[in-house]
Amino acid sequence: MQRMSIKITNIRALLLILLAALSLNLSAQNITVTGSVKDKNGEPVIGASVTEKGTTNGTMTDINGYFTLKISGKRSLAVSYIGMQPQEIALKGKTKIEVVLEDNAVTLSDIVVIGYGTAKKKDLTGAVSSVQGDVLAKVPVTGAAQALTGRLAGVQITTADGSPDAEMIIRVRGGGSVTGDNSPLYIVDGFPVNSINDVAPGDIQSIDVLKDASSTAIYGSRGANGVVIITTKRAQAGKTQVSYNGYMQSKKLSKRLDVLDPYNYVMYNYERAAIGGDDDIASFEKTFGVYDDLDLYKYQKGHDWQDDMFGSNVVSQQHNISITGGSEKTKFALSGTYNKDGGLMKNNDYERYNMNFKLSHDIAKNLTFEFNTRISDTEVNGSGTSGGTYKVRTTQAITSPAVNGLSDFTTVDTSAMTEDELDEYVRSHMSLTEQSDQYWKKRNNRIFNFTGGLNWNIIKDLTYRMELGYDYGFNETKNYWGQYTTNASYVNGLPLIDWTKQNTSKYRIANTLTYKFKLNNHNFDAMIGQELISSGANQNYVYATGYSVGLSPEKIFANLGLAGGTMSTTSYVNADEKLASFFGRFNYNFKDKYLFTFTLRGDGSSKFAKGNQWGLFPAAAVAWRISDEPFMKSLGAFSNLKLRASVGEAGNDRIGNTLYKLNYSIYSSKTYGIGDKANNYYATTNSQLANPDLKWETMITRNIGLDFGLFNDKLAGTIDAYWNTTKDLLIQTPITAPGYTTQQRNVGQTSNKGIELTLNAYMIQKKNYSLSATFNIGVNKSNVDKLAEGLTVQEYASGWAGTDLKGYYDYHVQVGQPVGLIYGFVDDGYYTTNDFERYDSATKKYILKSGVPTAGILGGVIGVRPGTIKLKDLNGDGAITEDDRTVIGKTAPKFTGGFGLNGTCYGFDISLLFNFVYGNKVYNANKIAESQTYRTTNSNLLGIMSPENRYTYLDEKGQVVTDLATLAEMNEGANAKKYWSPLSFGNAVVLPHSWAIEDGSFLRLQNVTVGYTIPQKITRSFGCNQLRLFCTLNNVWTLTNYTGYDPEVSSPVRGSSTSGLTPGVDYSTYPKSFSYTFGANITF
Amino acid sequence: MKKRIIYIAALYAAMIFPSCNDYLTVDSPSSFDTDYVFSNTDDAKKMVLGVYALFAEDTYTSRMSNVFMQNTDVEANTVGANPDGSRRDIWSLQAGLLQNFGDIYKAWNDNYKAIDRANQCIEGIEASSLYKAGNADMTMLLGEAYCLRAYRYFLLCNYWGDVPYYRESSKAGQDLDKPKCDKNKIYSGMIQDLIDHEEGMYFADQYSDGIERMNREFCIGMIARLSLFRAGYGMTKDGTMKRADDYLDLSNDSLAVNYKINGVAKTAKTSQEYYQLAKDYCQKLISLKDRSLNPDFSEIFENESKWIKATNDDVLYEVAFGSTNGGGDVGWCIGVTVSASSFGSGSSYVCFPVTYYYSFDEKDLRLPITISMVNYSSDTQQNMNSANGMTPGKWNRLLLPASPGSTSSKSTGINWPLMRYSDILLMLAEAENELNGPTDIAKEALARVRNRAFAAADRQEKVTNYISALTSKSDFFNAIVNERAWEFGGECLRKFDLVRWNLYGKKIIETKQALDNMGKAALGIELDNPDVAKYQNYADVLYYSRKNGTISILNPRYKPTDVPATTVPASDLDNNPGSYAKTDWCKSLYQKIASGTDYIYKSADYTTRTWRGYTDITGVSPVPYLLPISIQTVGTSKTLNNDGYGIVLSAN
Repeated sequence: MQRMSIKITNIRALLLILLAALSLNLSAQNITVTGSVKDKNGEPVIGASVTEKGTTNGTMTDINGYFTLKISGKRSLAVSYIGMQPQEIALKGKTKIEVVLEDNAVTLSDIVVIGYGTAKKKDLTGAVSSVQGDVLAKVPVTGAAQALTGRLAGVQITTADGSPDAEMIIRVRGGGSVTGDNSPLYIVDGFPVNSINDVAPGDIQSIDVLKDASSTAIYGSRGANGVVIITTKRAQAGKTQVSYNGYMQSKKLSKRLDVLDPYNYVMYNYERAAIGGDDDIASFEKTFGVYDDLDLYKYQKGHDWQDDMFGSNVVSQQHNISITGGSEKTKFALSGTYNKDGGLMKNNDYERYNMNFKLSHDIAKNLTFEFNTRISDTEVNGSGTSGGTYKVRTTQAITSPAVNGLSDFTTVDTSAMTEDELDEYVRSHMSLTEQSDQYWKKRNNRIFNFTGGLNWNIIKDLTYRMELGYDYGFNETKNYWGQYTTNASYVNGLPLIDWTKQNTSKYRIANTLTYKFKLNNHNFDAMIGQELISSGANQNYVYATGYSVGLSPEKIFANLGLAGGTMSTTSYVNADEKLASFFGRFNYNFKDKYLFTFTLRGDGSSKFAKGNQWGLFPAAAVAWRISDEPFMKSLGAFSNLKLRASVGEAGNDRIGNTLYKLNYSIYSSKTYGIGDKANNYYATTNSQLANPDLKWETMITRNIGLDFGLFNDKLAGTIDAYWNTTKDLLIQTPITAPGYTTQQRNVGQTSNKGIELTLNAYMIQKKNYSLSATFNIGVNKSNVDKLAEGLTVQEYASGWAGTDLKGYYDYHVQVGQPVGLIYGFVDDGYYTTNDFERYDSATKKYILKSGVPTAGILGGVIGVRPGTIKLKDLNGDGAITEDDRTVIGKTAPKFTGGFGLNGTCYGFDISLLFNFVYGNKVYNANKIAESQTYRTTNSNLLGIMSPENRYTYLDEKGQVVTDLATLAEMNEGANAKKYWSPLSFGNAVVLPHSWAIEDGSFLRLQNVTVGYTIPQKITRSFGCNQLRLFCTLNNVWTLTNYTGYDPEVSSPVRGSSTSGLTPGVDYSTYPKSFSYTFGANITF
Repeated sequence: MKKRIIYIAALYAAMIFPSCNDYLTVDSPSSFDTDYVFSNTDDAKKMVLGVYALFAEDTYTSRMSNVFMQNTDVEANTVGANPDGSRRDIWSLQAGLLQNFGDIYKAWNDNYKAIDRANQCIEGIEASSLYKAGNADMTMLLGEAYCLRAYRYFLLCNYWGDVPYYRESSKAGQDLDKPKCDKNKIYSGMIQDLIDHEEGMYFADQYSDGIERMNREFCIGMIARLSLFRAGYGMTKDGTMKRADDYLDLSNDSLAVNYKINGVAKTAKTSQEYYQLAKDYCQKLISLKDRSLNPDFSEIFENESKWIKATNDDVLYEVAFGSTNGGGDVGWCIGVTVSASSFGSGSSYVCFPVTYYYSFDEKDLRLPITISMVNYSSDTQQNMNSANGMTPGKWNRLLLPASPGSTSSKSTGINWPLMRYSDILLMLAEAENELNGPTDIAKEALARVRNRAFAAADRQEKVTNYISALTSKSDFFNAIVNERAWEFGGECLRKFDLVRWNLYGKKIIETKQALDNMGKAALGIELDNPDVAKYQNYADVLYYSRKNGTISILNPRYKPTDVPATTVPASDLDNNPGSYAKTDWCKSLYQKIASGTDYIYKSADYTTRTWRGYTDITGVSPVPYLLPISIQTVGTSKTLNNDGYGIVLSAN
């Protein structure tokens, strides 16, 4: 907080300077005008700005809506207020006026930001969804993407997990590309950025999502997956306004899973040992004691590892202060945001500072200069749950031992232990929190973004605009592995670190020339432009070992020289990523009724070899404002009706650099050890086989839409139908070639067809109460049209269990099917005693009846015996093999959307926001790993694997029952068990089977907000224009049949370049939380 | 004003129209093109080091070099009650179940990655001007690239049989998804490469990196080794074990090797001719660079544990794992088990069956060095290994010159020997015996190896008399089979020696029978069977005491003459100086289970499980020793599959 207060002080100082510079000019007035400003309900509008048009001379309405202003008398008055339509009043000699301001609820005239310009929504020919900042501001969220969830038709936003820095996965219309990066293009104030996570939600003026080619084609190369344009709050003239928005938040795990109680936990492990044989029993007894004593565990309370791992008591907070003001000539907006988001896991949190400054200044009558600075500083602590090998995983909260066994009952005198014994003792008794502390991690991202713009009205309606932008990023990741990590055991058992520092830079130059003109009823609007974007990055990497155990990670990173082991440094400078573009847009409309747009963009990308660098992306669109036709006017009901149609192309080049050629780089890890030292070596820069034939991936989109407004726009909506085809997909294709396993290729074609509907209804709009509702739904059907020549199926792996997973490839991409087909085995219950001839005690084997398939791939300690999981022998060859897999689930939802209600009542406001996903399957890999002993010793299991539910083998004496009749009596018929024995599977054997494929549909009450705005009469008394207090509940309620933590999941290996092809896996994600928030919005 | 407009327009044009072609051509200052990296010997060496670097991957350090080399009559480790989808299924000869096993996928890939890098080096060096100008260092590097490639194909053909064969580096546009090529063609190709480049290489004492780089003596040794494999047996697609002579058209040039020895041009095509080739090259090395074997057998391996690299000693080439940054797994997954110590810990995954222990002559000096009967639970505290849990004793992390720390595990830096001079002698003896029977050349070579294995006093009986009794070709051959077991135990050469001799099945059955018979003898049953009775005096239990942590075994081999009157539990040994503890030895090799008033006898779990995948009690049918090609590789290939080759993909 100390840092925060310094920032506030700075902001205040800056404010003072600016106020001094912008103090209003108060000369040459000779007429006094008085008047009142009211809304259409007759209520006074307090604090409305009243200025003499074209000057800086102005005032504000008082608490009763009255104003007095001395003016020169020649000019008209401009009256404006946030959320209302500004008005201009010609005085014509009057000295007393009454102004009635209209609410801004009518959205038609909203300005929509489109590529390289803005348009009135009514003039749009493309499919664009928008959200205004004031809507977002009411709900407290950390990031911009989070705020959008469920608000836009056809835009599916998935929170990757519940970690404080959770990645937001945004898909516009299903996403056409199947490469790893299916995310839309993000533009913040004209500048392309990699992520919008670092944009403070309070700074957002509006978010516009361009969905069809008519609107995205102007972005050509990068628009194929849609374009998300964020405009931050504009500088505004008028009275200087200071506002504060902030909240405090607390959260907890939103759902818990049942696990076996201590007794059942111990008995399960005893069962496993008893079947394993004498050695296993001996080692079991060492830990848990002899069978006859196991009853004691009935009275022991087990560890709640979910509580240990995800029970951290966290408080999150956000504070935002913004100041806007200025004169007609010079306007500014300044905002600072502090955000701290705690995690459910201890020492996992997210902290961010944002600063946003916007300035616009009229240099001359026809020359405007704009300058923006955006700074963000993010710090993420903790390695979370899915940070790769050797780290703590979510499943451990379930599978970790419920009790430690005998050592829980004895007082251990650690002082008498030798160093080695103590070490071993500590290691085996660490809690998950302590374990995760062994993987200390800190990431910092600092971004400095500067953009400048120059607008030159060369002649009337001819505007030249130049934009320059520069973005500099400092990213660093610090990893520390404590003494108890496996990594440390390879390097003398002492802590080690690595430290990656990356600097990125990106510049952009864009020039556009816009000309608007009108010939009678013909309106023309033409724009041509050129753009260069170049980004570069360089990395330094330090790896050092042998730090003493007592040093804190912070101390180590401040004193790297303390390394007692090796220290190595490497550096790498990336090849620049460059893009050169030329583009143009031509709009024509006749009588504002018939609208036509043509766009063309040519892009050259450095990602491809010469000859393939340039792509040309045209688009065309038409629209017909039917409601402006005379025959419609007579119908009356339609206040707005517009039919749109568009077709066009956009491209995608989001692949690695220089994948088209062979290069060598120096490597320093895992080197050959001549002379007992590291011998650095050259190897190919890219791990993929170079492909000189790489070219643009192209998406063709076709869209038909209808915008409508009924009953004076009390009910307004948009319906769109689209058909997108993406060809020459850039896919990292698995290949068989010496030295390489993949190659980036242009392969195949996919398509997405869908319908989107958005409805807004203003049901009640009264002076003291109102009610409005929004609804949106998107139905999308994706299809793989074709794959590489001669292929109808291609296999991909989600990688959640690496190569432990039987069949390895658990996803199929199949021609004629949507992307995201889960491929695996089909469950058929378990083997019953009826499947067996007899038990052969000599060979200790259960003899299967002929015709019953064997299952050698399971690898479980029980082999194939009654109670072993049974899978369908689909090819009928009498054995369960990898060939018995089939498609067991489709992860693509049938539809997604959201709806919300907003109401106000005498100062109170309430909003509810629901979102839903329907018809998708989720691959519950957690459940697989938690219902068997997988890569752990003495694991616990999910509660569903209780002895009442699972096939068991032990008699009362703890002996393994082998007799078929007895087994049948214990587990079958009247005592039929629901599930197979978890011992069916080997310790390193997991397989995707239909049991774990669950319906992922859900309806979620995303948040509930109740706010109260204290009447201005009261707040004015302490200089406060507006004061709203609110309370929000997030992730309030979810209706779902899904048995895991949360149905909203993401592929586990997110970084993988093929994760776009393996969606919907729930493995080791950080569980989501339920949170409650209190906050305030204050305007001075 | 006009000037200003022109100025602005010019600036504008400059910004819009940079030369677009140049603008879009990007290069990273951190990457190097092929021309540069082969333009000088320093960088070219770094390219070759890229091939070597794949030895530092897990696929080699703890998989292909040792852990995958089981289970035979020499190296064999225990497996569980059922296949479990892990490396243990390789040990139990059920690798067919492991189509999914990631280690197999990675091992395959790393072999081909090494081959591709070697191919890049070969192409790059051969095209370089330095090489063309005859630069000796460049020529050496080229030879190394060929050796590295040959060694990787050797691994591939051993583990997978017939495999795709690439002599050029991967380039886009080529058809890289090739079908399998017969391993004999690959062996011939590799031998020819080595013959063509052997003379351009340095001997280990001619340059600074010594035995840690593949050198001329290793290259010559590899020619001999590959020739013996080319001459021997291998698994064919129809699931039978055959030599090239048995099923291939030998007139095919790709099966021929041309070479010149002592000025005489020769061609090898048949098995016999390849034995001749092996003999020629063993003799070539002996004539060029003969050396006497280190009289101290243990020093060879202690040197490795102590990071000492002696040139012109036994070791021709050893994989340099280095003590930093990778570091290798010798002393962690192979070597003396150290469960806890100030030098860290490691538990050998490679073990020996007790039959191997008893196969040694009591007086063979190699026995106590090759087999460790004890493990360590601290720097000094020894504990007894079980009868079938004895581990290689050649490497021991406690000997490291610098402690890697008490919590360390892998990365010991102990080098891994790929070929020793005694191998050259035994290959010569074997090849000569195949060609001409037990001639003096063959006997002398064998004698040199055995001489080192026995104390001077024992040599008359154990060397001279022993060898002169080997009068027939088959006797001598059997002696070679045994000698290689004793000389190289733990060095993991056995598995594929057995394959090329087509003796794998026979040795498994012999071992299982011996285990059963030793167990029966210890339990005192079936003593009327001479095969059982001959083990009567073998120790049923071992008695041992411990002083200052060091174990002394009262009866390391046979039943003691005086059985200690009392014994104490192993855990009480330190509290009762001078007392004995006992551990089941041959007694543990057979099961005696009470059944009512009677007993049931049966084979020990170890015996039935360890070679579970091989069930033919005659030992005649082929052992399913090959690894399957990973499902990931098969999944992306149009041509590769696991049909044939005795690979049983699914079984119980």
